[in-house]
Amino acid sequence: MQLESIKYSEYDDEPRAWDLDMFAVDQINLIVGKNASGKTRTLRLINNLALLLCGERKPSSLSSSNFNAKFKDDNDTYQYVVNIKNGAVIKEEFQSEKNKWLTRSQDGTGTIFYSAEKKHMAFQTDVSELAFTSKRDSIQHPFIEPLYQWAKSVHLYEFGTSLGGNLLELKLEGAAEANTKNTQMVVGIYRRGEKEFADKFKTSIKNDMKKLGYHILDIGVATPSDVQIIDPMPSPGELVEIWIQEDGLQAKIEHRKISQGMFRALSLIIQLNYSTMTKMPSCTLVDDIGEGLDHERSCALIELVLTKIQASKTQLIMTTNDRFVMNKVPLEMWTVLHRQGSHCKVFNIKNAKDKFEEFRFTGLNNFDFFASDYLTENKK
Amino acid sequence: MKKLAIFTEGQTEQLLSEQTVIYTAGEKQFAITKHSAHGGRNKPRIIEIGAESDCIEYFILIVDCGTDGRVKSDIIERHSTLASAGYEKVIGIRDAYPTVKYNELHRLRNGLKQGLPDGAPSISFILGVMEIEAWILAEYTHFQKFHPNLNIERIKNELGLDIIRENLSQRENPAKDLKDIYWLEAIHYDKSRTLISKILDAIDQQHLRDEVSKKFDDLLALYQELELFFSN
Repeated sequence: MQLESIKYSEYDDEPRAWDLDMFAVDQINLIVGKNASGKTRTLRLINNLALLLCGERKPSSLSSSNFNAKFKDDNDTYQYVVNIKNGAVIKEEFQSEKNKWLTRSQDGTGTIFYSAEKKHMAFQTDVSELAFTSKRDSIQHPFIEPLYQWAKSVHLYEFGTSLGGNLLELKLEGAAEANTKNTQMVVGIYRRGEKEFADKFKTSIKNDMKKLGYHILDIGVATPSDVQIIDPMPSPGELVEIWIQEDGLQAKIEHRKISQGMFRALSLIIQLNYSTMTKMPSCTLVDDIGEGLDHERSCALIELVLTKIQASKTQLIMTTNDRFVMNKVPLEMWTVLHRQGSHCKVFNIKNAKDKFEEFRFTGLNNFDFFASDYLTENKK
Repeated sequence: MKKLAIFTEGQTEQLLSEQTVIYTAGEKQFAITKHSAHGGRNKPRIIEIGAESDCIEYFILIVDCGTDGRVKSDIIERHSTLASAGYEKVIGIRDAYPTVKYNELHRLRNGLKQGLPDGAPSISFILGVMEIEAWILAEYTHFQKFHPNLNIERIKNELGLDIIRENLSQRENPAKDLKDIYWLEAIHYDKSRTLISKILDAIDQQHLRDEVSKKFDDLLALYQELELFFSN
């Protein structure tokens, strides 16, 4: 299942209102826009919707959010609508072209389709819960499962952050595997990859890093040499972190000592490799891709990510302010956000086809499409 | 001193421009400076406007912008600096392929004229149609100088390409044609500076000016711009 479009608003009719036009999403998407145009916010709201749908975030944690999202798979298209106010769900609907599967109202009452009985039946759920998650049942409501799996597969990588570079992992006996949705938990995700795919995983990471100009001979996890747990003693588990061995250097480098740009690249590569090797269709969100990398590596990273994504069923939505990233990504993959007050307008080849195609003939590079306000000036 | 700046989309265009300038300048006192405008955040794109000398009459700056989309962008970005440095003319040279198709060329030509800065130096664009390699292809006398076994009959027989009769400006990807031709003698057309220089050394500039330019309006326009520049 893939996200086809999303429309969002919050705090309607209030001074702090904000809304995003319908954003039609393709397999690979690059969101560009000036500062404060809503790029990061757009990724976060997609991630928030996913967290709600897979039960990792409760509606009660949101004071105002109205989502209207469309999805598609090989068989059908689906629409999920949810309005949340003051932590309570005031409207929720899930339907496909063929059937209105679920509908519920402000008081928590609604109807849902029962597959065994082949009919809709009434239910009541807590106003602070999504019926979508509370009614999840693969026998009675199998239509929920694909969207739930989509939500599980959404990963948000905030490239401008450390991406786990300042975190160690405490390995506990019998503990659950690292949650891949927590993209800061790169040590645990690396361990999962090494355990499930062994040398194939390592080799792929080394090859990908080489494409970015980082020559890594070996990679693994080990106990840090300079950190120990003194309270409680004995320690409940073993502290571990990633190390790498770079070509030309004898000593292994622990991940906290790797340069920030290099570690961000390493972390993203580890997580993308794990995601693509598990072969689960997923939705990858990368905020500020290339941030902190030099020009060559920034371009190489974009090339690498595009190649990996194009060879998989993954959907990719990235944001950037970097001119070199913009010049590397074809304009057809662009979405330009333009904020007018609290309203965030969306332009891409689906709703501004003429302007996008006409730009080819200006002879300018992609960055100028953004920098010269070509779209909005011509829209006036 | 008269000054001309040429912005090209790549190394091949830069080196061919250099040779064309040298041929057109003839016995004039001139100097050429070449720059590559590759770079990024940690390796800034630097286009130096300078390197002059009092004893020369004509100064030509040839900048390799690295990609087709940067030619116009770099010219616009550097226009005021070029104006302050006394440049009287700017020529942008880029390919049409792969951005536009043959039947869309007029749209690209019109588009390139839009959004340019006013005032001197004036700006004009020369298009390699569909790629500048078409000019090299059309200067067929160089093949045998480059390798004695590469003659036009063999090219016609083995590749089905009649270099003399075919309208080469309609070849979609002439760089691939060149690649196929050199590969007949297991020469890999990798666009390296060494190989391009070797190929251009074999080019007959007089044939290019007098004959090939009759088949390519843009090449003719380039010569005319250069001849005008060196005319006074």
